[in-house]
Amino acid sequence: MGYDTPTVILRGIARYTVVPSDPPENVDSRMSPIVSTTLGEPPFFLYCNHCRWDSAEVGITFEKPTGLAAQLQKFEDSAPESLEFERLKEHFEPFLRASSSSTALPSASSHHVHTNPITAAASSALARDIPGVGKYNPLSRSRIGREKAAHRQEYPDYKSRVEVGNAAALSGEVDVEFLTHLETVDEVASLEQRWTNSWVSPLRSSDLKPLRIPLQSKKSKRCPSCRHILIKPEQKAQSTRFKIKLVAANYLPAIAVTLPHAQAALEMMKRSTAKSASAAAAAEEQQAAGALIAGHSYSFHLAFTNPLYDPIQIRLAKAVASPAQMTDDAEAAERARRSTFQIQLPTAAFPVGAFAEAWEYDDEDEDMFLDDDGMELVDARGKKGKDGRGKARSVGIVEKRANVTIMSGEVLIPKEARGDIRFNMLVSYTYRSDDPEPSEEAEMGTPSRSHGANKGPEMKNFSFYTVVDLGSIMYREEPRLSADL
Amino acid sequence: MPAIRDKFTIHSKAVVCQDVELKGDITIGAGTIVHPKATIFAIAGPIVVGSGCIVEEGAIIVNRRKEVMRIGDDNLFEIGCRVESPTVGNCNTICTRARVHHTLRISSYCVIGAGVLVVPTEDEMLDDYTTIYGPSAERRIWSGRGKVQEMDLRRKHAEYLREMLPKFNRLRRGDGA
Amino acid sequence: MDLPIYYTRAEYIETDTGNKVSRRATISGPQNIILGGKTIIASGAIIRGDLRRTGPGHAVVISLGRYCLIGEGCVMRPPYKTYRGNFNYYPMKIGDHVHIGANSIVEAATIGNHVEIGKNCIIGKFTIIKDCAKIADNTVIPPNTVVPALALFAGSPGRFIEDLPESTPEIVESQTKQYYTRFQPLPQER
Repeated sequence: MGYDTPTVILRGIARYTVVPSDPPENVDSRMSPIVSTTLGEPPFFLYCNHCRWDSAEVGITFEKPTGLAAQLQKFEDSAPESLEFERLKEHFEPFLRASSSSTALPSASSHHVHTNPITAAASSALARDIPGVGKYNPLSRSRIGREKAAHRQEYPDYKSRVEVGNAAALSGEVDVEFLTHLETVDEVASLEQRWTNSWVSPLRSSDLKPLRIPLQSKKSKRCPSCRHILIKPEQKAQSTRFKIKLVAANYLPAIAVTLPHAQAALEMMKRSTAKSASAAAAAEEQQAAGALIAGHSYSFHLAFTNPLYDPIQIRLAKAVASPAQMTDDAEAAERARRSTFQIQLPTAAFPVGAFAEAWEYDDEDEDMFLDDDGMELVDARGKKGKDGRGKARSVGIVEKRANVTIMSGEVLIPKEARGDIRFNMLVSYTYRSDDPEPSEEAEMGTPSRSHGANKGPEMKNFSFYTVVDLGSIMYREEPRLSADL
Repeated sequence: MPAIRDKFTIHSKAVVCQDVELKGDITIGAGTIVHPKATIFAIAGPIVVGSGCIVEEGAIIVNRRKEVMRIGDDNLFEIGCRVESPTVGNCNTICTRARVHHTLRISSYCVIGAGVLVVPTEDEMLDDYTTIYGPSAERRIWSGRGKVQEMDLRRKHAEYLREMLPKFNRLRRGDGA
Repeated sequence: MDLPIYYTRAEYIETDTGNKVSRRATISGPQNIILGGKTIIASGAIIRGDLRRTGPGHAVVISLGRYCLIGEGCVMRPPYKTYRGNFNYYPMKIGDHVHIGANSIVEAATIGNHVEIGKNCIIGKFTIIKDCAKIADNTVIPPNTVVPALALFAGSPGRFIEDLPESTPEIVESQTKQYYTRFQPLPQER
């Protein structure tokens, strides 16, 4: 049973377990095995496994360890917020009924709102179930406002249970009293503990009540432009499977980032025995293992893995971040300029082989792209075949095998640069599909997809942005970082 | 520093596994369990562990001071914790990977939460029922509700281990005992 | 890219089903531990198969699925409690494609498939981690927590951060398989 947030003192959110009370104290007598507790001795209370807070401290106890929500209901129903809300509903009920009947007449409202029975039922259910939270229905609200203006005279003024002014004054004095006698800051409930509540929560941390943990929901997802269903989970709560699952990973090339110098350094540490030539080559460039040090330039590798059954051509571009908004702020501009690092990416298009099952890759690797007419590969392929850790660090293809192509780029870090090396990259890719047109993958594409001729093989263009994170400058870095897709 | 003489006094009813690192002058009381891969180092002064304690794997108990480090009864030192407190009372729980510096003395029914680091700059004695938890080592006083059940669990746990551990692990015996 | 992760052949024992267990790991009560195959147990790990449920017959204490990784210095230990007055340890069940980062301590009851647990985590007793969940590095999950499927948990105490993408199972599966392939003995070893 998920009960959440402690309340007290705790900054974080922990979970509670329902535990029975101790039997009457005859502690420390080792002789008495406590048989009774195991069956559970009321009252029960919620117990935080993190900080040992228990709900008995705020007077919440339970007669039985099950059906806690029902047992808590009586506390919640008697809360002033709930009572006030009930009262409000009661007050406006005749008014609402009248206004809804009046909207039935077309003349009564200029813009007639269609509310289907399901929405109506859902919104009334919402209003019923959550004490303290009104139903959100902007249309009806505006309508009511309009109606209200028309019928204002017919309804008596609402009198709240407690006079607002008095209440504030009353609690205000108490609060002042409380704050003047404060000994530690912890006595006041933190903002984090209070602000997610839609009703007034206590100021004193010792008065805070446990909160329920919101249930996790399963969501269906649709394409925003074509409304095609992309994700549809299975109904069963425990299942992590999906009835429909069209994910980008099946269509976009996967990109993995590595820093060859860091990897070489790591490897060198691992086998300090045999210093291979390649590791040594990396070592001369850089002593501190794997760090990105300001004032140096490094090469980085981007491995593109093609998930498609067709070979693709990829073109990379560094997306220039929009210039700092506060260009007039000289200091900010200066800071921005100082922190910039330079990224060099291969500009030519390069091929990535088609995905195939392992046994389908023969020695055809070489000519896989040759039949791909209309594509200029020469420039990109020129540098192929060099060892990843070889000393040639120019920008271009490092390795190509099966459905993976590794490209190298270069980053130049100025001496004053600080922070993370993170840049946006526009990845555009093209492939020729023999599929007849209306396939799901076409729908998946970004709006930049070109609508080619609908017959025969078709060239498809896709592009997406991604953030490449090479790590922080000056800090020792993980050798393997993945790009956020 | 003169070399510390190893002197292990292990009660015949204690269960100390073979795969445990002991150094210095150490006394372990009746019914106390020391799991394999635990470490007890009496670097400067001796360490005396009471009865009914459980020291789990990877736990490290160190005495850096000259005075005798006294650990009371029914304490639980969970996996990978490190305790250097010169005194530890009874019925305390040092949770998984908690670290307690030698400037902190622990009374009774205290709980040092999982992963918590307690390093007071000056010598300090924790009150009974103090709970320290969270990444910033916040403190509060536990109401003590549930302690009877907890101690019942601990005693049954120790009882179980006294029976089961010898079946799977070789045990260490004291020097003279 | 997929640089091999080398180990010295002498350190690891490989079973018929492709499990690789470091000789520097502490495996107590191995007869009570089941490894699903192609599972790696790195050096310094402690697996407590000796803390078994009392009662007659064979008792499985810890079962791991396929393509799992127990990182260096991890402690895997079944959870315990008293139930109806009787003390007992309860079995720990871990699914397929579960990676547990270095120096994490796990006392969970159940861990589903495709679960990633980071480094230096503390997973409290009787925690239930559902399929495809991810626990960030240095997270402390208090006892009895339920981590829902496809959720990322982080912090101390660990709490829900965000939903993970629906493609998580495929991604994790390929990562764990790749890790197993990369994990190989040093080539120059004679």
